[in-house]
Amino acid sequence: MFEAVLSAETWRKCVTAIGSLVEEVPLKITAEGIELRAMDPSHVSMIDFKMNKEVFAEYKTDKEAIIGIDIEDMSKFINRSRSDDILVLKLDEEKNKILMVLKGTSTRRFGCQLIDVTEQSNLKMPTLNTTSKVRLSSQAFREGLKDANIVSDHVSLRADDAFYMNAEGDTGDIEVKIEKGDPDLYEIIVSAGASSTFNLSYLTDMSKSIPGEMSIEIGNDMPVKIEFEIEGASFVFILAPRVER
Amino acid sequence: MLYKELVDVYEKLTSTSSKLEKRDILSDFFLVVPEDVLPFVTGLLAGYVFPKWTEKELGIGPKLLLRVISKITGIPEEKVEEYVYDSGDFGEGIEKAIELKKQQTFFDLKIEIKYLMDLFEKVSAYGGKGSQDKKIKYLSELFSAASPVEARYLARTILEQMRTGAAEGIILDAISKFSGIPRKDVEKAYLLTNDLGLIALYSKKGQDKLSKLTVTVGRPLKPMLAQIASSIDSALKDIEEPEMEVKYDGARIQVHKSGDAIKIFSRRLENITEALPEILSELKITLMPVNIICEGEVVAYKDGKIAPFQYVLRRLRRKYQISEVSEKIPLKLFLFDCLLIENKSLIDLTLKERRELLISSIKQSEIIKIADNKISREPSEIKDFYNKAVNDGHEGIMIKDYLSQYQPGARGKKWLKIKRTLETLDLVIIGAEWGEGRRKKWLSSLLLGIRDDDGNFLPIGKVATGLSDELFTEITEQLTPLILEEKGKTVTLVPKIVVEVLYDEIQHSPKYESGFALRFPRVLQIREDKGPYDSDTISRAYEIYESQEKTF
Repeated sequence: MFEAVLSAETWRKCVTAIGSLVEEVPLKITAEGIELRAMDPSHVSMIDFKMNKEVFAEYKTDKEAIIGIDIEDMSKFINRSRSDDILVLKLDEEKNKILMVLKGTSTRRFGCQLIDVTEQSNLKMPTLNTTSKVRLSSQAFREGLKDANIVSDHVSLRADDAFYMNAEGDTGDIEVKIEKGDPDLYEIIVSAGASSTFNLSYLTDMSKSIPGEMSIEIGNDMPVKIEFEIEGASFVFILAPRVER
Repeated sequence: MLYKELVDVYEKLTSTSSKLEKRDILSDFFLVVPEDVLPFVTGLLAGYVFPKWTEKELGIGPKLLLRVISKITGIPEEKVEEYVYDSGDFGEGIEKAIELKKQQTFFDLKIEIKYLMDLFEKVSAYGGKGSQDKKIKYLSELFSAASPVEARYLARTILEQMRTGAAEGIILDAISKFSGIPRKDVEKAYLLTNDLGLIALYSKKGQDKLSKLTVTVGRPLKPMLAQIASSIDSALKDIEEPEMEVKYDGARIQVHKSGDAIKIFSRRLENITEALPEILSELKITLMPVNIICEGEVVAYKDGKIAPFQYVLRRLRRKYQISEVSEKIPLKLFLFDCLLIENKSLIDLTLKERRELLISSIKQSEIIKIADNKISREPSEIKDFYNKAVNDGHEGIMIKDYLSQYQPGARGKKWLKIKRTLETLDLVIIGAEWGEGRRKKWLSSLLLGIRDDDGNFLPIGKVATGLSDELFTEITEQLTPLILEEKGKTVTLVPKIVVEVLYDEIQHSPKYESGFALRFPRVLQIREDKGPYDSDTISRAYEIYESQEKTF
């Protein structure tokens, strides 16, 4: 038995963020809340998501379970919600479905078929030797990506005296610098200069749904780790770098 | 079993040109392939993912593959395309892209053959529209786990451009060797089932099991073919108990019925059921047995008259707006043979018995009839039958041995054909030149190749006339993706497109590598129903050359 109540809007935002990277995910239900960890099909990016039971208006489960969810299917349902709807999530083990009940001016129930995700259920987070951490506004980061996209399909993230986003292409090059004192930069910690290059389309997709503040950890030719929260739910995105040969 | 092990076999096969060595490499490998993946692996060795008579296909074209490779390597699509262009081969181009992959991944994975088999099944399940994203997802997963050399062979497999030289014949040799079952028994089972994978598996299980494989509804068998007879007299010399049938100018089909399920296969054993809706619905009424396999010729009628063969072909290759076209080009089916009734194979019965069974199993209708025939040994009667057939607009007549069994895939002397026109040759376009002036956007001068015994295509002539604007446009469209190399106006092509070529005479000529040249060649049509390995051979050209002097 699993049943949880929360704002439909919160769930919609979380599902959208998860869906920006992965499609089929193992969702783990525990006494403490729900969590999932998944990798995109190309094994280039990973996502780690946690929503503690405190975030829910009501939360009860009598055992741990891992259920397979097709995020694309689930977003189709949740995108039908209205902003002040209340969402009840329920597990129907018999029919192998997760039920989403939307309570607003009417009550609507969607049953979303569960899928098999056994291959994905034991994923470990890689240990990253990052040397720098930057906290900044997600809006500023997204703007930097758009700038980079003018000349290239990849971007270098660099931390030194400031946080830099560099891109180079046949038509020119672009540098975005965000430094201490800029209203968009909240914190920068650099133990050693760091620079890594990433695919723009992955970064763009994953940053789309980040509200407000985010933190970025980088190293030299290391995966980037991006952390943020959506209304109490915590997200970690990791993206493997491109390495020039 | 890892895909890597199969790749090693591909590599070994490519490194030798000796058929015996190839056979031995394959035979050693067959011994170690686990049974659950053996049919799949056998197909991959022969260069296909699914036997072509199944409805399954991957539906992945070069464009989609380039997108995937670009996505997972971080190399722009144009760059990957350049690698392909430079190497002249998709597999090698993609191998290079994977080698230069800039995008790192989190885990190194190894591709298991079982995983590949499941993945291809899943991809094939996403047919048609809106499925691209899913296909991209699966392919990304696959290619991000692939080593460069694995990527080369995966790309070739997916695009059906394998070049390992593991031809059907060599695979059958290898199956016979590893299993110890005589080659003729292996081949017989293959002709009946058309499924190398199944043959490999059953051979592994033992000769008892293999010998139980027989004609089965749903699995097309290779059609029995006819030789060309130079005259009625010579035909009568070969055939003791002659039966004449009208030779309809249409497309040969094989119909398989099991209960309510009916499948129609082309001469090349492709499933063409959906292209012939009106024949399909009529068959449901006409075929009386629950299970039956029969053969016939589909003929197009236009304004009540027999229409040229192209019309039928146009119907067969149509995938969309079928109902619209079926009204414009109505078809009729003339059945002439029956290979199975109620799960009893008839192929060992005589043609006479098979025809009687066919007649008693069919409710003839306006659309589906039994082919006209006549039994006679009298040359004048045969000539009359021939003249009537030709006057009615048919292609000629068949003279069959009424007491012969059905021999799948054989082109023997039990079935002979006498055609009204000059013999044509089905040749492969191996090169071309871009035209000039009005023909600038067309590949106009076409270099024709004829197949030798080793499967090479040797030049036999050039043709630049006889094609309508329409046909030029179509040929150019079909040839452009096959361009291997371009030097000035001249292009070299992947031998793939088969055209039917009419000519006045075959001459000996040192000018072309084949040793023959065609006098006044003209292209009649593209033979969409034939692949390069169904095209005519040098020995065929030689036969025609020899028989040119004798007239009918």
